[in-house]
Formats: sequence, C-alpha cells, structure tokens
Amino acid sequence: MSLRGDTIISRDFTGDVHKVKTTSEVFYTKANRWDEANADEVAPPSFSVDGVQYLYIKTGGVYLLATSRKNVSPALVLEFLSRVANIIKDYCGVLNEESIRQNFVLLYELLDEIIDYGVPQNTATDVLKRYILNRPILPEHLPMKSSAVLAKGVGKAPVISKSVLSRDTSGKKGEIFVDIVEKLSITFNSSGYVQNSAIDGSIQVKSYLSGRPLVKIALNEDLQIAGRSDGYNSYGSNYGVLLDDCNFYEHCNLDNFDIDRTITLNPSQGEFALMNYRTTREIRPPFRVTTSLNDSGAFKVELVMKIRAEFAQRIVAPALSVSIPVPKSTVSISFPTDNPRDGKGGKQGQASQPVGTFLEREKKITWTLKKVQGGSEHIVVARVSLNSQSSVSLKKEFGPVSLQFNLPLFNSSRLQVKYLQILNQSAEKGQNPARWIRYMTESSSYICRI
Amino acid sequence: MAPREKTKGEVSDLKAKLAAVIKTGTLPQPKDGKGGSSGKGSASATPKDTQTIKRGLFKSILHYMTINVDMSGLFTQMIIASTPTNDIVLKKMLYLYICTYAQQKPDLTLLAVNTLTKDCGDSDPTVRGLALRSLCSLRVPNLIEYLLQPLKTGLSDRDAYVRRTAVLGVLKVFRLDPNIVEELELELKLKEMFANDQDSQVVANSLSVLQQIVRSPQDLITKPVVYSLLNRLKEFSEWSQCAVLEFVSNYRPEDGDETFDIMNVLEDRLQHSNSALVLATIKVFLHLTIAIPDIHQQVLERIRGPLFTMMHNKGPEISYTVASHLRLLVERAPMLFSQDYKQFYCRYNDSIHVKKVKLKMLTSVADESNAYDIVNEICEYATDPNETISRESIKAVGTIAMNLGQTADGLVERLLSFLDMNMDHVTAETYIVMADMVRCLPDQVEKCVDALALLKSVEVVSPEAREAIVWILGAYGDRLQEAPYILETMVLGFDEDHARTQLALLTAAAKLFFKRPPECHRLLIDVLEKGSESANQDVHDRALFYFRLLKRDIQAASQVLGSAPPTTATFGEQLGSDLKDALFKEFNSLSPLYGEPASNFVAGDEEIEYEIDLYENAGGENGAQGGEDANGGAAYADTNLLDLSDDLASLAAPVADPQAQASAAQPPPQQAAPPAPQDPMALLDMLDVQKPAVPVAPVAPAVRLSPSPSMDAGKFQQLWGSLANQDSFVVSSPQVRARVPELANSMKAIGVITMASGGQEPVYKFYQYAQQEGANSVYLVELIANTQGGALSVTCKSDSAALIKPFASFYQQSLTSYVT
Repeated sequence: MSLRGDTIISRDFTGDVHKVKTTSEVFYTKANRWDEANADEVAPPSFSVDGVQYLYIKTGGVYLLATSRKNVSPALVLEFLSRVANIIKDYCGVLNEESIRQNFVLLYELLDEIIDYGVPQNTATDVLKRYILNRPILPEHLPMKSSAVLAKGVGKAPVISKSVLSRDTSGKKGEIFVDIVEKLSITFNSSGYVQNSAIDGSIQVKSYLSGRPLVKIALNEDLQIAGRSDGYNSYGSNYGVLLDDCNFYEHCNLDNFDIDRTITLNPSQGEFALMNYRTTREIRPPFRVTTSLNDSGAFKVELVMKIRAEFAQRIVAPALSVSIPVPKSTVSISFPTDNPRDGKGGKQGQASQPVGTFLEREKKITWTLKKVQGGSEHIVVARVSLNSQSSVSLKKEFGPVSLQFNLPLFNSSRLQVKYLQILNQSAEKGQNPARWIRYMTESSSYICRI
Repeated sequence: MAPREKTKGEVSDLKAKLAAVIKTGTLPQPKDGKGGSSGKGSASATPKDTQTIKRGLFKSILHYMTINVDMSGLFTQMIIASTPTNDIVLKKMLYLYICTYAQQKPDLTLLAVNTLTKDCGDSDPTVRGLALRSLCSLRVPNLIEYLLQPLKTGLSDRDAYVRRTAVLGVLKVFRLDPNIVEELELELKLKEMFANDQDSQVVANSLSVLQQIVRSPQDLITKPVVYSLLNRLKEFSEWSQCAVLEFVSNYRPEDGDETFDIMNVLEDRLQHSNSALVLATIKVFLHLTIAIPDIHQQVLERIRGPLFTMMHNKGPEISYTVASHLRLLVERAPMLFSQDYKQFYCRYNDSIHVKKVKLKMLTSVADESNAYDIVNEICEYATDPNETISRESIKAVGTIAMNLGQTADGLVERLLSFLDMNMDHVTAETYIVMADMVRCLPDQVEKCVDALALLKSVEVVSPEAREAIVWILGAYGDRLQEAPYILETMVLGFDEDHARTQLALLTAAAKLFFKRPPECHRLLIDVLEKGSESANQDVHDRALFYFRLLKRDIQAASQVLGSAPPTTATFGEQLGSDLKDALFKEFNSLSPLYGEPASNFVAGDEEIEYEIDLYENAGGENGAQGGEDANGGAAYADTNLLDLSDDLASLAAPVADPQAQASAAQPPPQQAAPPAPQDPMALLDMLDVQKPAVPVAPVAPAVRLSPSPSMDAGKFQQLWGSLANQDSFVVSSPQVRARVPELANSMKAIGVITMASGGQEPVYKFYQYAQQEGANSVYLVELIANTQGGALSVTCKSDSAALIKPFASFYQQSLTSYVT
C-alpha cells in the first residue's frame, strides 16, 4: 500500500477476514490518525480494530500490511513482512511504489510461493527462483553494473539495485558484498563524559554469487563474547573486541567460530544479515561536542558549540548534521557573520563553513557540516533572542544536542573481517568473483546534554 | 462518477481486445494507440506474438482487479483465451483471476475446473502444485467434489512441492466442509505424513493443518512427536521452526532431565537473527521451567542478552514487539533486570511507542540502588518535543517515587522541580501525578501542599490538572493557609470550567467546609449556587445532592464529606498479577503488545466465522446478521418482562440508595468527625437563608420521590400488568445515542431506579420504578430508546390516579433536560 493509502497489490489467503476490501481503508485511517484528540499519538506497529489484527512495516515509501483474525505472533508476522520486503528488493532491485507497480504480476507469483493459506513456505531467494517465470522490470536510471554505484555513496551505504534474476552482462563473475554497519548510540552528560553508550552492529551480506559456493569469513581472533564459556575466558582481560551479545543468520556454520572465529556458509543469493551484535563496552566516540550558553543581555542567550572530529585524518564524514531544540519562547535566532534577518546561514569563504538554520515551527536549530575531516574542529555560534527573561529553568529548554552522521571506513568496535574466502570455486572459469568488504558507522542516537 | 465511467470503458475495451485475440490471435488495429504491451497490428501474428499480447492483456486485467475494479465480466473470455495453453505465466495469471472471482461466478468456474484438474496430472510438478493450489483456493462449496480426487493424489505425489500444497489443500477443504475431511479419513493420512514425510516443509504444513482440524490439538503433543520434531528442527525453515516451537511450548516434560535435554537442543536458537524464532524459543524455555524457580531464573538471565540485542538491531516495528515482551518479563521479575537499567534508556531515534514501553520498564526496575540514576535520566525526557513522552516521563518519576515509599524524599523534590519548567503540559501533568502521590505517600503531603501555595490557578488550563489541584486542596486544605482563597479564585470562573473540574470543586468546597467552616461557607454557597444552575446534569445533581445532604442531616454529611483523606499503597491501573499471568501464557503473541489477553480482541469461536463466510459466498449478504447474533446475544425483552428482569435485575436493583452509593464511593465513613470550632449547624442556617439561590425547580409540588424506593422484579411484573393509570409521551433529541449509556445512572439521581435494561443498537429498553416519598404510591416506567431516530418513548404507570399526570410531566421534564 502506498503512503497515500492506495492498495498496490493485495492477496487474501484464508478468507476469514470479513469484507477484506475495507481493511485497507480502516488501516489507512487508523495509521494516519490514531487519536483524533491528540496529534502526538501515532499508531503502534500493530493494532486491533473490530477483531481484525493489523500488523505493518513501513519501508521504501510503502506500507507492507498483514491482517489476521488470530492472536498471531507479531514478531513472526513482522519478520516475515521484512523478509518479503527483502525478497522484493532481491527480485526488483529496489523496493518502492514504482517497482511494485511495475512488477505486480511477478510479485503475485512470488507471494503465492512464499505463503500459502497463511502458512509461510519458501522464503529463500534462490530456491524461489525455480518457480518464478516472470521477468522483473528494473528501475531504468540505474546502471547495470553495481560496482559503478559504489562511487556515489552519498548518504547511506552504497545502494546496490540489482535483481537476482538479472543475468550478468559483464562476464561470468559474481559479486559478494560484506558490509559491517555499526549504529552508534552515545549519550554525553553535560560535562562531556560518556554517560551511556552502545553499538548495534550488523554484518550485512549481499551475495550475487551463483551456485551457492562455500564462503568463509574470518573475524578478529581477539573477538570475545561476554557470558559465553568458550575457548576464551573473557573476564579479566581488557584487550580485544568484546561483544555483549550476538546472533547469527540461519544457514551459517559456526562449528569453528569458537576456535578461530570463522564462519562458513553457502550464501543464498540476495541480502541478509549474517550476524548482529551489540556491545556496551567503552568506545572512543568519533565526535565530541562542548556547548556553552552565555547570557548576552536579559532577553538574549549566546550558544557556542564546539565540535571536534576525533578520528583518523584519512576518514571524512560526508555530512554531519547537528541539531538542538531551543526554548518555546525563542523569537529569532541570528548566526553571527551571517545575515541576521532571515536566520539562514551564509557562507564565509571556507567551503566547510557550517550552515545554520532555525526551524521556526519545531523550535530547533540545525547546522549542516559538509565533508568533516578527521582531526578537524568546528565552532558554531547562534544568538538566540527570547521573549521572556533568561533564567536557569529556561536554559533547561535548550538541548539535548543530537548529531547525525555517517562515517564510511570507520568502525568503532574494531570488529573486523580479516578475510573472506570463496572456496570450491573449481567450476568457475578461473575468474574470481569480486569481493567487497566495507565498513560504515552511523549515528543512531548521538546525544549531548547541556 | 467520471472515474467509474472510465473504468467501464476500460472493461469493454479489454473485452473487445480479448475477443479479437481469441479470434485472430492478434489485436485489432490500434485506434487509440494504447493497445497491449506490443500492439503489433499485423495480420500474420506468430504464436509468439499472440502469447505476448495475451500476457499483456491479462496483466492489465489483473491490474484493474487489484485496484478493485470488477473484472468478473470477462470470465468467459479469460478462460477461452487461455485454453489450451502451455504458457505457464499465462496460466498463473488466469488462476489468480479465477480464484478471485470464483465465488462471484460459481457456474462459470465450473468451466475452468476441467483445465485445473487436468493440470493436476501434468508432468511438471510446478504445474501440478500450481493447479492444485488454485483448485483448492476456489472456495466454492459446490465444486468440492471435483477437487477431492486430485487432492488425494496430491497427498501422495512423489514431488514434495505438490505434497506441501496438497496438505494445505486439506485445510482449505476443511474450512468448506469439515465432514468431507472426516469421510475421506484425511486426518489419518496427514498424521502419517506428519510423522514420516521426508520433506520438512510437508511436515511443517501438516503440523499447522492438523492443529486446526483435530478436535483436541493437545493430544498431538506426545513425547515421540516432540522429540522427532526437535531432532530435525534445523531442517525446517525458520518460519516452520517458529511453528514447531510454538507447538512444543505446550509440551510438559516428564522430569527435569527431559527439560534440560530440550533446552540444550534449543540453546543455539537463542542466537538466531530472526526475532520471531528467538521469542518462540524463549517461550518454550519459560514455559518448560515455570515450575522450577531457580532454573526459571537462570533462563531469564540467559535470555536478557538476546532480547536487548533484538530491541535495537531491527526496525522500529520489531523493536516495539521485543520491547513489549521484555516489559512483560521485567514486570514479572524486576529484580533480575535492575542491573540492566541503562538498556532501557530511551534513544533519540526510538519510536514513541518504544519510548513509552521503555519508560514503563524503567519504572519497574527502579529500586533503592538505581532510582536516582533512573530518575535523573527520565527528567531529561520531560522536555521531549513529543508531549506524550514528556507526560509519561513525569508520570514515571511519580510512580517510582510512590513505589519506593519511605526513601522517596529526593524523588519528590525532582518531581516538584518540574513545576519550575514553565511548560504547560509539564506543569499540568505534575499536578496530576501529585494528586496520586499525596494519597500514596502521607509523608510527602507537606511538601506537595506547600508547592501549591505559589499556584496561579489561571495558568493551569488542563481540566485534569485543575481537577487534581482542586482535589488536593479539598483533601488537604487544612494544611495550607491559602487553600480556600485558591479555590475561591477558581470558583470565579466556574462556568467556563470543564465539568470534571466543576464536580471536583463542589466536592472540595464541601469537604473543606467541614475543616475550615468560617473561611469556607461563602465558598460553599457560591459553588453550590453555581453548580445547581449548571446545565450539566451531573454537576447539577451533585450540587443538589450536597445541598440536601447538608440540609437534612449535618452529622451524616460530616461523616460522608469530612472524613480523612484516603491513603492507598497501590493503584488499580498497574497490571494485576492475574493479567500478567494471562499475558505470560500468551507470550509471543499480540497480547503483550496490547496488554490484554487474546479473548479481548480476537473472536472466540472461529468456526462461526468460517461458516458465515460460506453463507456469504453462497447467497450474497444473507449471512451477515449471523455475525451480529453471535456477539450480541443480549436479551431483547419483547414480551416477557420477567425474563429480562431476572437476567438484568442484578445490574440495577442492589444499588438503590444514593447515600449508600455516595459513601461507597467515598472512603468508609470514620467515626463522626469532631465538630469544627464553630458549629457548622449555625453556619448552615446561613446557608438556608440563601435558599432562593438553590432552586428546587425540577421537583414538581405534588411529586416527591423517595430517594430509596424498593421493589422486586416479581412485584414490578405484577404491577405492570395490573395498573390502569397510565400516561405516555415521546421525547426526541439527537443526543439520545450518547446519553443512553448513562441514562440509568442519571435517572437514579432524581429517584427513579432502573429495574432492568437491555437491548442493542438501535433499540434499548429500560424498566424503571420510583416511589412517592412518605406515601405508598409507586410509579412504573417503561422507556424505549431508539438511538437511530433519536426518540425516547415513555409509558408511565402509577397506582395513584391523581399523581400519574404530575409524575409523567416531572419525568418528562427531567428526561428532556438530560438528553438535550
């Protein structure tokens, strides 16, 4: 279903939900206006209306919605929906309204194989290929060869939009991508100390290798997992990468994991998370922020923020955005050296000069810094005019500062893929498939309190 | 209407094109340049071209079908166009089409059945499976006979793909006609497949089908079955594993060793990346060990890690699901999680729902060791741009303080500091929490009440917060010098206030009057005066009630109103342990997300649902009312009054005395409160002087209803039949629907008691009675409310010929003022 509420494809399996046709309407109304009285309330990911359970995920600008009359396991339904989303991605290259519309016959075909009468059947991308006859219509604007896309890694990890069904035009070699993506959640207290931190990491594999060859992936040997009584005694030693917990993909062989930290698997084509992990050990934060608030008159406060990039010089964050809520009584904000009237930032010679914006409605200032190099330091200033007397309690309304960024090539946990081998390649004609290992750190909840 | 016209045009356009393709193998010369995907209009179309054209046409037909344009008119053409064909793509589209419209066109579907059954014998297993799946999905009861043979063959097909489909086909047939499954002994066949089939998906499908068709699914769970399933668990797909584990979670091992065996086998499932599988495993673990407390505790410790990982590693939807389940566990054993409180800190990018659940968990795990850390953290959320989160945070601080009791000093101060933040909703929520807190923590009353001294009541807008403030002032006004004056200011704006604040003001003024009579009598008079003039029935009634109570018996009034404020240790809103257990039983389902057991939100008897479905299929909308009957079985009370009163008398009869009710709502009256320094009686005389200000208008001179009439159902029945004096009238108002639910209660306030009531949309009936005060005359009322027309038809009867008219007009007046 599109975000505008149009059903793009739908399938009724068990026929026990009455008046199936109205469910999309019911869902759309509820999802958009959960509570008439309070706009702050939004619909939870699953809800019940008239004995029909609605479970949905929102991804790629569409809703994937499932309805049931039973007390289903929400985790099962939601995981299944995300699996469906992945399959659509695998087959159509991308998941969005357009790709679904263009490929709806293919998707009906897929759906029929994936689920029958409400019971999930086959969900492995390459097993499904056996039963699928329709060809996908791929988005046109994307180049056929995925590696070309790598170059323009703008915001997120490079997007590979390629269908598992598309035949390789460039010779016989396959490709495999292994992405180590870490999401960073750090809270600094007002004096700049790390109060709470966590890394949620994931090793994402996108495989376009044909014939499910055996792949061996080795992680750091000094990797330790808390609370596991394996070859390593994780207590007492403070070197190495220590994880709190991790989980693994269904079809991987962990027999040697406890011995030499290698994982072997026969990757199915398509995209999946090989391993998810979490650690709350102390980490070195990539950015530090110090903020000061000074009264500059009864109704004026000056906000000075210093942002230091504490990572290696060779690494550049393509974009860093800093935002901070300001008090409700804020009238206007000026950025020194900028045009003070409109609050929009100007440039000051340097290309990397941060651009400040005051979002009047949300009462929030944001700065966007481009190409932040490791080791660099940036200072941003804002003069805030208020319509009430500045006071201690008023200053509480500032903050917290939140940072949004992504850092390619940077990895905070120091978890590494030491090597990636593709074994039993005998059948292939000498040419090695391309292997890509990429690191990426993203901010999840990077908060500095004032 | 324009779009419909357009789609109609499209339908006939497609029809014409289909006809042309059938005839000539190609499209007619394109006139509008819009023809199929490759509209080559040449006369010599190759079979290949025809195929492409057909595919294109089918595709657009399916497209319209998807967006709910009725394409059933093309049924015949679709079938002709696609037979005979070997093009599987075309076949798939055709079958999808047929399955969608089979119920609308059962007769035409018969035409397709032949093709379908033939395809069930195809040499390609994919085609066999496809045909069988479609055949079983037709949902046309008359066609069942055609699919039984293919189904039976399918169950023994050599290809697993076909067998999987056939197994699910059994369930589809079962939904249409359970008897056939029994006749053909398919259950036995399925059990055999469940036990022996080589293909794991076949086994998994048999499991889910068997669970739904067997009379007592519990009997399926035997030790050998469970063991064989667990031993080959990893052969199953992750989804099937979930189903298997859900099944196993109902198994009760014979002894501890067996429990450990099962847990060892499943141990590695906990580090799976699929959250559904992990939750299913956790459910097995928890249910297996429920009787062995120390192991149960170890299990809880073991599963913490995976749950925390899943709470953040997935999308917001799964985060919420995991967090809700975690909350359930946290609330069962907060001690175990008290070290992990930092895991529950909210993240900037958490969804609102996840944040809410996390706040609940933080509240649960807070104990002496971590409460200050937690509260410091939560205080940061009070400025959250989202008002709901901000309010929930304040509530959480309050709850933590209340839970900790004696050691809550500092926490209460944190709470009070929210008042300095000058944010409307923060202030409002703080007052609301404060009202709860003073009830819970008598030690903290002083602090809280002092904080009210600086209150500028006009700045507080939210009715709930105003109500809370007024309540505190009423209950503890004796400790705060300013209390009467704050209330006085608030009474000035009485008419603009929300009804709930008005009600609170009435009560607070009346209560405070007994504590500080000289300062409060003016306040009380003002508020009673304003209240009795209120258009709101509740406010009006309460004002009159207090007035009469004070006037009639000052001692009784002092007992009712002047009692010490109640204290309580816990509040009803917190999850009761019964509910927690119920939710725990339904772990890994929607119940923990909704916080209520499944019976509250899913239909109890699913069989009925399916049967209705069949009705609808066969005869259009006839079956619809069946559904309503199922849930709305309330007695309708047409002729036999007694039945109704027997059923429902219990609802109304026992609460007859408004005073008793009032004192039930208030805390049990304590021994007569010591007389206040000045004699309240004397002050009350002054009150009496103000009499004209408190109108008794609604009470007509002749009719004075006893506040506590009594009558039993039998007598009512008998009188209704015998009384001759009667009067009828009709009151109309658009508000009837909204007023009906509270009708019985509000009539009780004027002395008319509801003996019985019942009915359902749009008609409700009420049988009521009243008694003349000081006399034996009785009044009986039959009230039929039609919410659709907005009319209340009333018939009154009485044993007194003189009083029937005045009573009828009194009743009409009261009713009119209530519903309009």
